[in-house]
Amino acid sequence: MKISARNVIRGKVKKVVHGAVNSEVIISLSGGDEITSIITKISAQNLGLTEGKDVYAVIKASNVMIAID
Amino acid sequence: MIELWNGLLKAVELIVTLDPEVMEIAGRSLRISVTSAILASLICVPLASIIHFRQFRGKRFLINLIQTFYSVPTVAIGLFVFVFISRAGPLGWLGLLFSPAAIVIGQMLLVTPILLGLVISALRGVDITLIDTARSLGASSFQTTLVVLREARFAVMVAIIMAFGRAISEVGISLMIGGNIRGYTRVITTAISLETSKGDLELSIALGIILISIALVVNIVLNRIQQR
Amino acid sequence: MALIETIDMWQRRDGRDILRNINLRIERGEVFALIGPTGAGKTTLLRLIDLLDEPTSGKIYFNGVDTAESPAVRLGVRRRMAFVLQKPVVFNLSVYDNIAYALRWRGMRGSKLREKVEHIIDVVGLSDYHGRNARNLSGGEVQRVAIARAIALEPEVLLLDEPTANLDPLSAARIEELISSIIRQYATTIIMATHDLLQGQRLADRVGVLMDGELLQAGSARDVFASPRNKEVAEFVGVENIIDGVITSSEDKIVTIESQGRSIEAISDYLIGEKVCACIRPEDITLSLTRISSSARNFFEGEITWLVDVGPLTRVEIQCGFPLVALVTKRSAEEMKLARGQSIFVSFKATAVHVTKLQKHKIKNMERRII
Repeated sequence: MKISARNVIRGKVKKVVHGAVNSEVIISLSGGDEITSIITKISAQNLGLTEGKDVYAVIKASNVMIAID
Repeated sequence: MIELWNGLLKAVELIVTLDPEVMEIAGRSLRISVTSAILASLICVPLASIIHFRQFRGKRFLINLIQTFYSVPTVAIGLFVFVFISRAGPLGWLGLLFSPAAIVIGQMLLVTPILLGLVISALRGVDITLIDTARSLGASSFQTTLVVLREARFAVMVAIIMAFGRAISEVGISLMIGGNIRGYTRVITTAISLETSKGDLELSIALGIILISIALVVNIVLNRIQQR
Repeated sequence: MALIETIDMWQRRDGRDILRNINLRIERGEVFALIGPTGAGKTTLLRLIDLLDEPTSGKIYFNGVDTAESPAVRLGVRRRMAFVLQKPVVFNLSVYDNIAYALRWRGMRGSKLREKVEHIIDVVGLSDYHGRNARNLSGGEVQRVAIARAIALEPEVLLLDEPTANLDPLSAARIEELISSIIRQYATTIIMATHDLLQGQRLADRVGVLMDGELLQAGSARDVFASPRNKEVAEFVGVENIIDGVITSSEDKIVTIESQGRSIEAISDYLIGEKVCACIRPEDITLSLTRISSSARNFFEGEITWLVDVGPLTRVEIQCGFPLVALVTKRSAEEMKLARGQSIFVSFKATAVHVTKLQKHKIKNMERRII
């Protein structure tokens, strides 16, 4: 997958919560961390997102905030 | 030619030796015309401000009228004032005729149009944003007027000096309502015209030189001010 | 109660509406920037707020007081404000007297006046120019005198009209620095007009977009940039991707916008048939060399028409039926070997599309809208 987004992170769908318009998808990463994504409900259905499915979280570098303790 | 030359030499002598009669006449001339210019300014500067800042019907016409009177003949004013202050006139009871005060009144009338006109154009020359600036900093309308006058101070001074110049060089008024009374109302211009007609050129030339010197000084001062 | 409130304010001059139905509320202590192109009516609005002019119709309240009450009320209110005009003029007096002038009008005299003026001269950094005639100063210095003159009055409201517009970049930066230090030190309510929206964003708590005499939008700079109310505002605030289209379907707030034969999906309340424009920030567009299946609702094939590096990023212009600008990192551009003429896939999320009205927001005369 050749994509301009700098961050393509592999994970497994842990949970999908469908809302009226959007769906919240929680992806668990191999290290135990989680990434939450909000996508449209249609997309979630089109991609067949179910628990346990292998997915990539794609995040553009310009959208990543950095914080410290 | 010789006569003129001798007259000139004698005249210089009169000035250099500070001849009492010459000095007395020159001093009176200065006193009267300075008084006229100052008194006229005290009336005309506020009046010009009112005309400039107020909007009223016929304002343009009034300003045109003022400008028309810049070159009013002195004898016309002399006649006008004479009619008022002669024994039979409405102000005859004041006994002003043939007094220095009468000359002052006449000269004030003479310079009023010039003063009004020049002060109004001095005020017009002030950047309109300055008025906004003053108001925006909280000036009342009176304070705003003062700001504008202060800003136009050099141009206003020029107007006053021009008025003085016009007053000191006029002859018609001083002669007609001053009467050229020796030691009382005789001023430079009336003295020159009298002495010349009597054939006494020395005194005339001496006074002429003084008058021209005054004009020169006035001019230098004007130039200095306008350069600022 | 708002410190300043304008209600249904119109200003008409020579048969033209300079300001239309301005309803503006300014709270005490707030820094408000009026942004808009030249000629939008910013100066006219500031002049009305400073009570230098009177509106054709409508009301201005200052601290709840109707300012149209009497000339004395107007003077009293005006004395609680100070206005730095766009092209400030200084009095033909020394720097000191320029600043002291308006304080004297308020009856300040003697050592109190002297200390005050000296202090302010220090604050604006003009200590070396004390006795100099203000007419002989440079543009930036004149601006300093004008600001000094204003803040010396300790106004409750400071009005600034394009404070840096006529200055060279260096003087402009210094004046901006001065303004932000005034904001920090004095906590005055400030209303400033600027055509420079970044300046508005840097200095103000809230911005108002004034275009063609109408206050189109007001809010935090972030809100105005992220969700411009209509296309004009979007263009003015520099949204790069503005795509005109018509809504052809709408289901559960997910709309399809048809444009140039392509459909863009977005989230919006607009109804079918409405002419809208879609605004997409270049940062929200992802590029790929191959077709990918992702959650992004919008996926188009296009051709790269232009590439240029901007700092660590590369700006990529793409033609995909409509023109789009994307921002990607320079590293991605290099790794993907992006080049002009290359075919490319763009994708962006439906939530990244801000849908706004295409047509100008027409304000009806009677409709009252308080911003």
